[in-house]
Amino acid sequence: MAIDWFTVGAQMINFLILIWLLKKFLYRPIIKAMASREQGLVDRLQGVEIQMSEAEQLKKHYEVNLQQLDSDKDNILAEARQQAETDRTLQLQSLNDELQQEKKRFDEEMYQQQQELGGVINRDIAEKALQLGGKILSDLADQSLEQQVVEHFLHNLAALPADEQSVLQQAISEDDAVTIISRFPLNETQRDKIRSRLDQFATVREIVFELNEQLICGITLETGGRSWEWNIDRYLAELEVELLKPLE
Amino acid sequence: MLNNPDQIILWQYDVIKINATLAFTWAVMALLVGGSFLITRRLSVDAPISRFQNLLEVIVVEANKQIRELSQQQPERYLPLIGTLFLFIFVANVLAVVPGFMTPTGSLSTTTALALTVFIAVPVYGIYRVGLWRYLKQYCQPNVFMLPFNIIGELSRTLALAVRLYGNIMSGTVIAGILLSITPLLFPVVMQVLGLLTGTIQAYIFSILAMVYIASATPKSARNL
Repeated sequence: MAIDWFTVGAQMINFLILIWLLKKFLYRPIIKAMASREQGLVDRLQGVEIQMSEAEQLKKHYEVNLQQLDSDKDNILAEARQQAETDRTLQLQSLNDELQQEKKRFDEEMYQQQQELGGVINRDIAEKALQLGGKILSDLADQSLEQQVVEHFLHNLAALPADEQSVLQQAISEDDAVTIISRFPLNETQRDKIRSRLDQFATVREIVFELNEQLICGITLETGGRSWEWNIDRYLAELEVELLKPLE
Repeated sequence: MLNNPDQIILWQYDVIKINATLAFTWAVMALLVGGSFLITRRLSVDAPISRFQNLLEVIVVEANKQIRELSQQQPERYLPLIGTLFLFIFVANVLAVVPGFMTPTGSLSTTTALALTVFIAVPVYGIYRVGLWRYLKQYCQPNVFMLPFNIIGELSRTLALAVRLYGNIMSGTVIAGILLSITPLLFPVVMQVLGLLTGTIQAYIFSILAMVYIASATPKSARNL
């Protein structure tokens, strides 16, 4: 096995050329690419670290903000709750007042209606009682009662006060006639009693006896445009006035 | 039986001749440089990286790593020599499976040329690193009487480097030739695969030894990372 020294030299040159070419086309570009990638990674890492620190700061900032918001939220909630409670109380109060007023108005209306109804009932009762009283008296009225009525009337005339007596006296003397109105016809005795009694006041020229069935039980003296009477009707009218007066 | 590519003359003018060794060497060189050019023409710094770029980066990174481990020095200065040694021998050996391809490393001239390159590179790197005087002083270590032995050692290891690569590659070719004549068909294929493994290992060993020689020529005090 011989060594061809020309080939050896040529191969050495070839090899040196190959070293140079590979250095140019392989090692240098590859190393450069890797170095720039490494640098890029380092830069990126630094960027990431910066961004991380910024993010950390932002995080802290937002955490503080969140805490602030939390506390604000609690305050706002508490205020809102208090406000709602106050509003509720006020509304309840207002509703209560309204209710009370409504109740009062209703009570008043009820009372008024009761009063009106009571008045109507009382008036009806009074009217019915009076009518009943008038009817009873009307049913009971007769000659004997008329007799007593005449007696009572005459007694009343005698018991008139002095000034009234003088008025009566003057009326009798000034007028031509005295009219006696009764429910039932008066007998002669009664007529005489009346005449004699009137004569005691003044001289009676004429006495006219009239009947009036409207009178329940009573007697009326009319002369000189005036009249004196004793009448159950009158008592009843007075009673009616007395009874119905409180109901007005 | 032995096909020495040196003996296949393609063109000759006086002493200048182009034989198969040179032709196939140029083919390997063209493949390496062309491939590198095509790949590194469009390098991307950021992802995505093409798989070929990734392959080259792996090769470069691994070569740098090996050089750093062996030399305890920054690998940039040694990468072109060591890396090219590995790539050239590896590609040449792997291409041996291509029919008709005669690997240049199967020629003693080529391996001698590579060994001589390393033989020259050792003192060049040493002097460059520590200076001429300090480098020469190493040959007198531990005393001046050791000078001849040191020089003989220097020469013999260069010879060993050349013969080792040549012997390994040639042995593969020889074994394949013998086996083909005895048991054709399948068995030689297995031997070819084994040849690939041997070729790869030889490429690695040659590069590593070159680095070891260069590193050993540098005083320890000069080694740093």
